[in-house]
Amino acid sequence: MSVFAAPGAYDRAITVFSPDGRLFQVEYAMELVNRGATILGIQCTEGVVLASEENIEALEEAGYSWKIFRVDEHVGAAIVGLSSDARILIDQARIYAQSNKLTYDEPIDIEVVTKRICDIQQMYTQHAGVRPFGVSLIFGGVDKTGTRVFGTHPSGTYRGYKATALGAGRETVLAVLKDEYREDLSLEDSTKLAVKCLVKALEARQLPPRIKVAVIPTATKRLEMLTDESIEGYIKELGSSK
Amino acid sequence: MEGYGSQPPQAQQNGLAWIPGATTIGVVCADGVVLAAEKRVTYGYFVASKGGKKVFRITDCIGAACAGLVGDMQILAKEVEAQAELFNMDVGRPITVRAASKLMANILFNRRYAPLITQTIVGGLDDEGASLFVLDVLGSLIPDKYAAVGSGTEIAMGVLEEGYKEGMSVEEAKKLVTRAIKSAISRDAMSGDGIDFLIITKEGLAEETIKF
Repeated sequence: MSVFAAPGAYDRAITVFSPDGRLFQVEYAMELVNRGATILGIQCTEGVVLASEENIEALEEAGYSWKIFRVDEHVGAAIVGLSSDARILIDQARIYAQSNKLTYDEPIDIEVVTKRICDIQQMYTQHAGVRPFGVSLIFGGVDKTGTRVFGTHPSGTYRGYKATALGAGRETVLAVLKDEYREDLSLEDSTKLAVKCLVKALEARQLPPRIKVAVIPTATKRLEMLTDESIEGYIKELGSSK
Repeated sequence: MEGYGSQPPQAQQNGLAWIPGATTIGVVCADGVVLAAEKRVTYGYFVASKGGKKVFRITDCIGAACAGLVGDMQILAKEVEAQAELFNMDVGRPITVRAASKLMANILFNRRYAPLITQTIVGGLDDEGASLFVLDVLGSLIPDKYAAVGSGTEIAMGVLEEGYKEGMSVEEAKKLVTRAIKSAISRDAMSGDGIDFLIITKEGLAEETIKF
């Protein structure tokens, strides 16, 4: 803090630049996201995998996910950060997806829905009387242009990825992905890789494995959540191959 | 001339609403789409123009051909052209023929209580190949292989129905379309004076004109 102006005067109600050109509120939102439970997205020619760490509460309904959402038949989103903020963005994404069908008679492109959500996130870094969304999303899906994965930030920026991760375990996951990701991976192998990444990320923080996975195969262009049993199977397989 | 000032002159004559006639055709070929329309514009019994243009470029690979009020078709085509260009920049790929047609159908449907008086054939090439859609005044959207709209439809359709073959070349389709429009022109008083072609192939969009 000695080099830069101290936060305090520039991180209150309105998002304004500090004298050294920073938006503290946005940075705080990013910090929140960086501490959240890890999510990841992987694309291969056979489809897209979205996966998340999730703490499962006692007596929770099976197959319930609060981090992976279906946006449209062919689009999914994984969220990290404030899940209440994320709900608002997911609702908007779903509306954009349906409205695109009404306007153009075709399913929305993954990049377009990502961009619309980032437009909203950006708006909340510039308007008075609001705070930024404390959430990052990974949008994944299959559209006219192929399999796509995009990561967003509270600032409203987004990027396209072959594979990416966000949240507390991102560095562990990105290290594994950098090592083991190949474009010719099958969807099955991508799913295994996703599970492996999250298991490692959880191990690194001494946490038990608790993972949710969704896949969108190129063949069907339909998002499906994997059952807890099949994910359990992948985790066991991982343990036995070690 | 009762009510002359309250209604556009082209829409009225002797107390009757007149809509200019036309013969407008679209044909899907193996390697592209042929759109064509004759060049006559009528205000009732008066030939207002022998050089009206009823075919329009929407994008480099999509075109539209219309029958009806010329002003309405110009506004409609320009609006869809602008939206298609915005789509291209926003989404990062060219708009498909289906999406452009749906866009146009939405504009027509939203104006169903103050309609744009124009029947339209939208045709073009995209990743899925050549396709063609017919739209009416209220925004219906019907895919087809060949179509005709305007006052010369019945006459032109007789020729098209007999001459159309699946997988025609652009040159064959052009000949068929010329024959169909010439046939309509010879018996429909509201069609005539020449033919505008809009030919869409992999090489892009080409315009040609025959004057009679």
